Amino acid sequence: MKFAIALVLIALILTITISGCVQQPSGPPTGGLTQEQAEQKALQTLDQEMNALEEMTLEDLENELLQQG
Amino acid sequence: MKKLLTLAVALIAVLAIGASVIAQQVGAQNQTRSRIHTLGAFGNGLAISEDDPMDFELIRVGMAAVKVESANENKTVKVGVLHFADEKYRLKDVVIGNGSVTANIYLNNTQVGSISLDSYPKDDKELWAGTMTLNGKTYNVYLIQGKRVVKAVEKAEKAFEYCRNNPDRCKALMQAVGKNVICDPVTDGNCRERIRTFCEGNPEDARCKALRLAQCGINLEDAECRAEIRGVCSNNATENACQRLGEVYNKMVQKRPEILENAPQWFHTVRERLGGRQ
Repeated sequence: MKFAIALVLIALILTITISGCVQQPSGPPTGGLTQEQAEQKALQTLDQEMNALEEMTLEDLENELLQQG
Repeated sequence: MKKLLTLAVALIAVLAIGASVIAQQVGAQNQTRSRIHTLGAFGNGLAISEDDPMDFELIRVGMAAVKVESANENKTVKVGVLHFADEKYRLKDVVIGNGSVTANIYLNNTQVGSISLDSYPKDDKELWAGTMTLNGKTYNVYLIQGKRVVKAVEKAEKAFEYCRNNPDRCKALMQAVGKNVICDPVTDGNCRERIRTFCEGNPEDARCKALRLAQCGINLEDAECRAEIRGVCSNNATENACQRLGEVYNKMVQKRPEILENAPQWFHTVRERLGGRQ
């Protein structure tokens, strides 16, 4: 009997732990994206791409721009 | 006692499976993927004060239409960012046209200026020139379009879009490349998805490249498509897409004729072909 109670308790603890790891997403209940969420995600993507963009020095830019006359 | 034990074990199993299923479902809802769909101005440059040529700043601009996908929904949103001096501004009301971009500049949700740029070709590169007002000052802006690594999923998307919108031409193009068609987009409703999957795994396949180029030829607002087409035009300026791209860049020539001095040869050839339409 004690063993069974212990098992049930373990089950409850497991359930609470797993549920705790799951965070409900904000936004409409359908799971769809709000415009703001979509824009934030898009900005994040654009930022990553811009971070990957090669750094240019002022000298590089001068050379490039002066070449065009 | 045994019955109680069995009941407890069954309860554990049911609870564990239930929690696991909920976790997976919510996890799937949280998964959002995003990728660049149309690239506008994207690169480093200079903003030079209209009043004082010695008053200038290094800038970095990025504008793009980004496709955001969640489990239930797809959205394409246009976003932009401007780095000016040490400040980062957000660009809103972004418009990406054929070789031109405009946007309003915001800092902390307050509009502080606007930017308008036109693109033109120089050798194998593309440059942007235009004006920007920021915090009451007007600048001339020059930008060099940066190169980014186009992901296989983005390349495949172009082939997918071409076949979705032009199934007949999609099939004919795959046949013209001289290999078997990946599938028949005219009769097979799932074909375009299969083309997407195939081209994602084989982005340099001749059929995938041909489909991508065909989509780019009719999607010249995308700077990466213009770069693809410029590559084609430098080898064969008589392609129809080169004429369309020539017309895009011609708008800039009308504003600033001096850019012709450093324009690539293919552009001169296209302009000659356009003849009286200049």
